[in-house]
Amino acid sequence: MNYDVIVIGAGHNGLTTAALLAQAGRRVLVLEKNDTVGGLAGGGEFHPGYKTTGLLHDTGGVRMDLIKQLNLQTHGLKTTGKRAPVTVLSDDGKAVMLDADVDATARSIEAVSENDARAYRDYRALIDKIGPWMGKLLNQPQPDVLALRPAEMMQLLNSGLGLRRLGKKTMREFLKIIPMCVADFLDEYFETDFLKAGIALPAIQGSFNGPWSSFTTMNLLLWESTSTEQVGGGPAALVAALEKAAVSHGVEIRTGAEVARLLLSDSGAVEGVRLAGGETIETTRVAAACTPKEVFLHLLTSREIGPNLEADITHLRSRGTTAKINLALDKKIQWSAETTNPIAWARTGNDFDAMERAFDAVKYRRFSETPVLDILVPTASNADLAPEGHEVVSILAQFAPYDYDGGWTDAAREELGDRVVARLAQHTTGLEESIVARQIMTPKDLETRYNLTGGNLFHAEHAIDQLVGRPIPSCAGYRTPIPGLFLCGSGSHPGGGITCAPGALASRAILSR
Amino acid sequence: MSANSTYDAIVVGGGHNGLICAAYLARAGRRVLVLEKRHVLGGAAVSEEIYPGFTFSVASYVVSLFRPHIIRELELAKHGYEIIPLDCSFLPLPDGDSLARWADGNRSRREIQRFSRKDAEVYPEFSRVMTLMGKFAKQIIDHPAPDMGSLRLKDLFGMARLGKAFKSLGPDLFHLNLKLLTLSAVDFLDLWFESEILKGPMSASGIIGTFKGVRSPGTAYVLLHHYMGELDGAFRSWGFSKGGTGGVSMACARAAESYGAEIRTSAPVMKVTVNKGRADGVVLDNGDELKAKLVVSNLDPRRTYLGLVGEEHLDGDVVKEINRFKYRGSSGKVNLALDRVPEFACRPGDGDHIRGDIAIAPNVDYLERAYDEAKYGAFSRRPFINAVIPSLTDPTVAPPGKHVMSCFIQYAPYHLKEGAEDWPHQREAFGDAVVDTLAEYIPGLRDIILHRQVLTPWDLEQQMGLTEGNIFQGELSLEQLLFQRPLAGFANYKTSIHNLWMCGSGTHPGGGVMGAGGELAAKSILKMI
Repeated sequence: MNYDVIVIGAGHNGLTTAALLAQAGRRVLVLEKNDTVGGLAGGGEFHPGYKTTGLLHDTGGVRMDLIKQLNLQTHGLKTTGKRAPVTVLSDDGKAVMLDADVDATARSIEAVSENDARAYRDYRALIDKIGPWMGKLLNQPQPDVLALRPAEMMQLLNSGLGLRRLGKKTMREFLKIIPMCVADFLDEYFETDFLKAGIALPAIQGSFNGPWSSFTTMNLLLWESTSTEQVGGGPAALVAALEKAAVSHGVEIRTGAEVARLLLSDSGAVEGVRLAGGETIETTRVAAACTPKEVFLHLLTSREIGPNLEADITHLRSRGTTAKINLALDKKIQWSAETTNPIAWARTGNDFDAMERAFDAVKYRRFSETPVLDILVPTASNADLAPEGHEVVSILAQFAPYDYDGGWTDAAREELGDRVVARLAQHTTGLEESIVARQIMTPKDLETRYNLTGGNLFHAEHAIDQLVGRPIPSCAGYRTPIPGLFLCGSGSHPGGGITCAPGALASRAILSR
Repeated sequence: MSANSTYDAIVVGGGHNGLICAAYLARAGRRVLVLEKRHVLGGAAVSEEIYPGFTFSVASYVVSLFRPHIIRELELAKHGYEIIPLDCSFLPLPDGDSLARWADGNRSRREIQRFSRKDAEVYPEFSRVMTLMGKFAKQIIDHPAPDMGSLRLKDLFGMARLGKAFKSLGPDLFHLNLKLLTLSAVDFLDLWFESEILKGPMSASGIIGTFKGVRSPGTAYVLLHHYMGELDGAFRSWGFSKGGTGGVSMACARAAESYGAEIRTSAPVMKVTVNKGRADGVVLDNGDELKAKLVVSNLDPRRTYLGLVGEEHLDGDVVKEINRFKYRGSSGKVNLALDRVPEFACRPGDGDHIRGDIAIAPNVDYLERAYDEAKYGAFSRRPFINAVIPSLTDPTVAPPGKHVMSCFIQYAPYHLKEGAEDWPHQREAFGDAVVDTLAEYIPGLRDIILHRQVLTPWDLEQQMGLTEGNIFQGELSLEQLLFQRPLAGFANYKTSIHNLWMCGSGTHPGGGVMGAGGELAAKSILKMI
């Protein structure tokens, strides 16, 4: 059997690339190491009778043009057309709901601060101005600044002019805030500590940064600019629809098929893959959705990639700082905050000092005394994920190191779980007694389970030098120095998260060859 | 001088930039007056005999980036400018070991080899690459910064010039430059080195004067400063001025006077007079009014706009942006008068190793923990210290056999959690923390201290007029650099008030004793009038 393209990894990006290539008439095989598809977007049972909807919570960045192109709606995908509401919690029982609707959010904020309600409108007005421009940047391949091909020059010029067209004032504001730390940026708008902390969380999630780290404002703007959707059923539902679409176009998917080596010809071009079981499959094109480090450091040898590529890839920063905790509860979660809206998604943080202290720990290879939590209750919208009346609580907790001081042990993992539960317990009542089971995954566990190098959720940290020319300049634009080898995962532009954008843009690069 | 006589320019503030600006203006035949609040010239680049017989570089203590063409153009050597190069960076370690890095590369390699063979091999290559990038950076500091938000020809040319320089770096250095601009010092050094012993002191140079840690993004680019230094026209990193840093300022003052500039000390300016939106002179604290065709402020942006001019003359947006400009001083100075040479337990004696700069920066975590304390409003109990003992090479600054030790200390956050005004109560405790830290490496130190001067950020503000004690007249973070220093639209030495200019470290290219602000301001002014 001969395939035009073999895709390594059946996560949301791998499936996206595969489906789009097959739609364009290519014969595509997807090889997935695990027994189920989805990668970190996949759901599954973590305790008998209790399921999650994927490692990540946010589906706000999923690209609508892709959903249309693959007709994912016909494969059962439901989107809401606006981002999911998220509630930010204070340690003293207050809550504010950040909704896609600015008026609704401003009303919610008014209860804690009228100034901040006004400020929130200003804040969103800025996002509304900058957002479409940033979104556009993220939905097209990145121009290669130094190669200066005429088409890319035009594109660069257009982007520059696009920013200029926002007006001198907005443009200046944009250039001013991009390098700022998110704490300084939000301090200029808001006065309420827990609101600022809550808004800031996406800026530091999955990163080796605290709220006082420079350039975190850029990460916040990237999130705000692209978070415009919500997938019903979460990442797992997206993966299910992608799988159906891929199969409908003729993609062949093999699970439990771990790729152990890429096979290169004498001239150094891709000629196939070898599976862990020894089987070899021929192809001249491979699209790798796994992490860049996995591809170059594990599937190829240092002789094959050469010293320059090896050095660049080795230096790619992919430090995991987030742990995942799934809780199975035998009753519904009882939030302490007084709020009229049901809480399905929440953030803790309380204030910048507390978030920064949480970050401090990971610098010394320890986990936070008081972690910062991003809490999703998937059973709030889908009761089928747990026995009747029971609940699933999915938590992304920061900060936990990959290289825990002295090495991760079962005891250390349980202690981390205890701290996360204790933190959540501060915002709920009767939590501890209702826990039936808990699953704790440290960044090290995430690496083992999802092949996430370093346990980083985004395959490589989101930092300017790793976003421009992502992941490294010689592999930007989805092509690599190895003829026939392409990258299509979160390690490529525009980066990680449940967006499918790298997978979609990679398919274009592959088809253009 | 009669009250109605008019100057071409009045420079408010006799720091080194103000004096250089005045010198250039006078050299072009303009009638210039410099007004300095204090009894001594120099601002933060000042030498003072704080204790009988002992002359301290009270604030700024080393010189590295002073622009060589300024020395030539203003003939500063003739006026007493003399720099003694620092040929060693010495790192004592708590375990009794130490590392000395020398101007002589081979000597450094041999020292580094003891800690890491790989790092010793990489070290020269690192220096080579950094020097290349330093040459690019000089394109930036030696010209006004083009406004990225402008389509004027001048700005487009400026951007094209930078673009060309950037491109000429080639693809590899281009991306490395992006890393240099955005990474933390530690992440950047991790690209090269493995040994903490090297990464500690090297990363420390990325945090000087900033309210950031060695792991904070945006600290890597300051590493370049070590590879941009030019002394006597030759590439060399650091040096100190003979007679203290004030010697640089005094040479600039004498040059200015030789061209006919008039300089007055103990002449504090209260206000810049603004008439129909135009600056036309100043009012002194004593009520004297002096008129000038233009006024140049060497003060920081807040003091210039909100102090000298006043909100009543300013557009609301300008006030907002000026209030946004961040200072947050993070460092202090401890100056010691010593009875004899301080001896380090790990490498005793008064050899060449202590004739350069001495860093207490044993490892990355030590530095980061020092920052952690400061973030929450306390001075570091175990701070980063950069010290020099200029009396070992310059006998003019201390009596025979005695010494001065000038210690730069980080972190000392201006905003203590008890409030900045609590600094007078914490000053001596801060000084004790510094001496305690040093005494861990210099066991006999306490016994040889004759006098101790402790300067907190609060003191720097009170004595030298540096807002929030920021030694660079404003944070050197990317959003406050280039065309945004101090604010977009009113950078490059102009202000929002006609005929009022700025020339201090609060303008491009920022702080340090380099003189570029004063020079570029004067040259911009001379193009306009």
